[in-house]
Amino acid sequence: MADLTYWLALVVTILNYATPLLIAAIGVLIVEKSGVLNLGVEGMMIVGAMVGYIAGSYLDTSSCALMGFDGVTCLQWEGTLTIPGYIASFLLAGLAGAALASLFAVMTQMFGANHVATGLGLTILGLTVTNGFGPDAKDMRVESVANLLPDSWVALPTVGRLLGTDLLTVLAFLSAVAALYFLNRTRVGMLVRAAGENHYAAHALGYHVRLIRVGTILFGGFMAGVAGAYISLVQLEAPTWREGMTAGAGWLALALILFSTWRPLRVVLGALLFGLAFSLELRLQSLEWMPSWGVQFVLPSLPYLVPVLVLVIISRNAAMIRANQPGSLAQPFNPSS
Amino acid sequence: MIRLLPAKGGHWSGALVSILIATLATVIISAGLLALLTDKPMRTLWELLTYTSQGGTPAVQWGKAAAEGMYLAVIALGLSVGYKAGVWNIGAEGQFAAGAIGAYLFWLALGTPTTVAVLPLLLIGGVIGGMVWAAIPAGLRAHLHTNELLVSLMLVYVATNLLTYLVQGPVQGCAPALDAAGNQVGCIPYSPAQSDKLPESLRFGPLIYGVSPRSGALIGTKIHSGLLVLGGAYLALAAVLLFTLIGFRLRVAQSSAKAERFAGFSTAATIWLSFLISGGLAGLTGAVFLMSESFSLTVGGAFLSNLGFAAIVIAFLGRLHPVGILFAAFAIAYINAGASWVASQPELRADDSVAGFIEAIALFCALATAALSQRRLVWKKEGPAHG
Repeated sequence: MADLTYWLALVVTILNYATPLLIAAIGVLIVEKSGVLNLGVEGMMIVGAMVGYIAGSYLDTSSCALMGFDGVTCLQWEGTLTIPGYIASFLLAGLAGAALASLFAVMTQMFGANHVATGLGLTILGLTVTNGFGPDAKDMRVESVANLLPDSWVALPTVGRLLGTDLLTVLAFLSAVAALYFLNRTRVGMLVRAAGENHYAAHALGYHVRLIRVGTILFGGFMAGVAGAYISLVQLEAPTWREGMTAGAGWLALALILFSTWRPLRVVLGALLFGLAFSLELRLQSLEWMPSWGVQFVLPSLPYLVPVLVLVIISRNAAMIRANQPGSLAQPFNPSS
Repeated sequence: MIRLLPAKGGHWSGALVSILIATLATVIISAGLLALLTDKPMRTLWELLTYTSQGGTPAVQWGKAAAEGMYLAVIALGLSVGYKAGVWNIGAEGQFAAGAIGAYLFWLALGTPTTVAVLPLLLIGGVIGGMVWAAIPAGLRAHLHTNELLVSLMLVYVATNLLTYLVQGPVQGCAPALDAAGNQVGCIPYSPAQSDKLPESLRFGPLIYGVSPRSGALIGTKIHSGLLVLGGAYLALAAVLLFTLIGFRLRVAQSSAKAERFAGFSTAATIWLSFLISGGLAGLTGAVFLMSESFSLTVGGAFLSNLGFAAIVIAFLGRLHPVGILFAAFAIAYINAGASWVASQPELRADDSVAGFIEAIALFCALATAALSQRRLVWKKEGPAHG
């Protein structure tokens, strides 16, 4: 059983589940590094999932027409996302996430509303919006997502499955490295950290704390939207839309940041660990010795129990958390007082 | 330019004014949204707000709002205790499920009795179920410093899975299968899966009946005796919070951890108290729901109707105050019932998501005005960064 194909399949499944968590978590990381706690990730993700799916089902044929093909050729394309359509769908999903995030930005940065309450409200709003339009989106159809690598590579035995992983998976891992570079080596990254560590100090130095935060909040929304669209367009066998399909992935992304103690490379490690928890369900449910309560209760709950467990372990080391936690995270900011 | 500065001190009338502004803004934005979502916005809004007199039986329609309002109010009041002290239990949905499971398992453990005498035990089972589920994030927070917000939320998914597993396995009920002669020869599991129903004697029956306008027959409303239990629990906790020393200490806890310690209350005690109260009330509501509306456990997604999540909104809409929460709960429940009424009217072509939208709009208006009421608008000619 445990041959190369088996292990490769496991790796592919882990990467598949880790990708959206990683994308969303990198967004959360930058947001929290600037001192903002946005609990609306789940809401922005589900909206991204829906918008990505709707965009995908509209763009399949229209992008074909835009590229100058005739109607007959385009009919063959129906239900298949082309690469421009694929990119556009993800961009639109990201923009939808950012649009929702802008509401959070206005509430917390302009009105000074409570971060926790507003974030929870954003999640509830996102779930509500998608419940409303869910039934309409279900009627649409996106059959398969274009692969960015040549078909002949993907058709290779064994390694083909790994090569068939989505380009976004690669980008997700690169984004973690980019976040590390951004936060530690760029001027804007330093400003983001300054705003998060001590907003009054940053303000006194003449930096525009609120502007920096609006920027990171919008970025976080964009990443959450893209992560959501990955779930609806790429993660499953065929693109699917279902109400509530993100199933807590946004919360897992937030848990991931706590696990990582705000360090980008540990976010990658955590995403792989959480991805493993998801893939164990598929891998272990066929084992014969597994009791029915294991298959029906423990395995489906693993993606939620594993984060709880790692949070408990991490939280015991309070010093490590304090060393990296942004000092002004979710603190009220009144520069004029 | 206009600048927002923190206001010094506050007066209760300011809170009322901001609530009024929030309500007004909600109505205006909701009307605008209805104009986008439906063909006949004004008629939809009118029928939504007056649905109790739009056909059907008024008493029945009022009953729907009253029952849901009571569930929401009780869960939200429990949550508000922790929210005031900065203890974030957002897993009331899971504690609600655990309460229903607890009540049902108590009934099984007692040997499936049919006597009404065990009814209080079932309610206790619900409270214990909710408390056990809430004790996990509470204990992890109080003693291992684990983020209680995320843990309580994760446990919602686990509770949903537990419910589904139970009704598909250990407690799955079945309907008797009869042979040609009418003798019971076996049992066919229910599909979709659900547990056996509680006996009639352990169900909360309607207190108020409505008269059907068409047939003149009596129809039971959702105003059932279980609401008295919940109402009693609400009043008891509200009285404790408003008039006793414990309530005062919890209010002190919200201002700062230091003040909390001076008041003779440890942070760990606040966490435990907040979670046990909110979990216990969510569990009690779950048990009452089981005994008055569903009568049997069903798979997770079918049993839970987001009451635990909606209650978070209610707690904030009510400004974490016992009186405010009561008003917010019944207002939102009324809008929910009205929205499902207009959604059922084919000529209005309104989606049943209307209620959710109004709920979200109300929440954001309330949060914005609550934040604004703690600030004052100042007119300044020029705004240097350090104004």
